[in-house]
Amino acid sequence: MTLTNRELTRYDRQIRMQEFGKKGQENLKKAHVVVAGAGGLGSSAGIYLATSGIGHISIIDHEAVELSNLNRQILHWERDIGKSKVESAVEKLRQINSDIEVTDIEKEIKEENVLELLKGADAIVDCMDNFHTRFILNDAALKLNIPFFHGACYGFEGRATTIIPKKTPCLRCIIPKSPPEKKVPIMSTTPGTIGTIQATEVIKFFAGIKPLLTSKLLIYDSWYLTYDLIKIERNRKCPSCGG
Amino acid sequence: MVTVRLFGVFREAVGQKEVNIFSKNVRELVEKLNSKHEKIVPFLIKNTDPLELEDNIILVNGRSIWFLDGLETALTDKDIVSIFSPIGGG
Ligand SMILES: [Zn+2]
Repeated sequence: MTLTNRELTRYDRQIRMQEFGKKGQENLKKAHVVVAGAGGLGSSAGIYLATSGIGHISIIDHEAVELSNLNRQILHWERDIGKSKVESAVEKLRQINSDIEVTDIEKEIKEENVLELLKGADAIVDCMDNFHTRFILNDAALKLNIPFFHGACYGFEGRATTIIPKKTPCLRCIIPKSPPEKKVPIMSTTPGTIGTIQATEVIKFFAGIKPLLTSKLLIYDSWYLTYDLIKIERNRKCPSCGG
Repeated sequence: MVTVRLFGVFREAVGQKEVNIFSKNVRELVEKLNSKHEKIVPFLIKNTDPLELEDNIILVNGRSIWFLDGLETALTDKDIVSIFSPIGGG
């Protein structure tokens, strides 16, 4: 997939990196990435995937924008309150980059429709706000044999890991049980950082740049200003990937 | 000595990022953490008798204890235990 002159100019600064180059940019252009969730993580991940030139981005969400989303969900603005999140997100992403394709999928992700929703996807970015749906996506990624970029936030703390089916531990290897779902406190900037890390992982994955956050869990703590990497291993008894 | 890496609320409760403890299994490690660091108890323990843990993530060298032997998971010198709670916001 060749790059147009406009694209060569648009992405010039990143193409200038030898390790990335035109080849890396072409690989991004070929990729179809699903951003599951248009909230805080989906906003920052979505914006950077779009500016970086991922050729096709699909956004899935079924909720509407609320006032209490605006502290962190930077794709949604005051004027969008009441509007569907995918509509609001897709509108902005198309304005950010009209050289890429952006698809809106206004659906709730469920076990029965997940494979249909992910049709044609080369990767999934986990921008959900609950474990129930994360596990559905985790299992779908394993089934489809596509990478799953996990991110999560609580307060000043964030986590991220990159899951490559059959190679790395999956989400359930680390978190066997779903914790109870409740409205969690989240500092405005935490999903900004974690979504950006997820987008960076996606870019590196498609550009073939290593190391990735594979078999490692990143724990980011913006209260103490630390990033820690925890080595994680596959579990042979894992109900999802069966190590 | 087993190295215990603490994150989030556990780090706050203990006031340290890392502690070193002698213990032959996870049960003993949890009991020692509890008696030494009172503030950690409500985050770590659901029930004391019999000992039952809250639903946190405890990894021994990167493997969840729920896929090993739970509280009876054996520990040896130089093992690294990581303790953190699952977080799911986005
Ligand atoms: Zn697994």
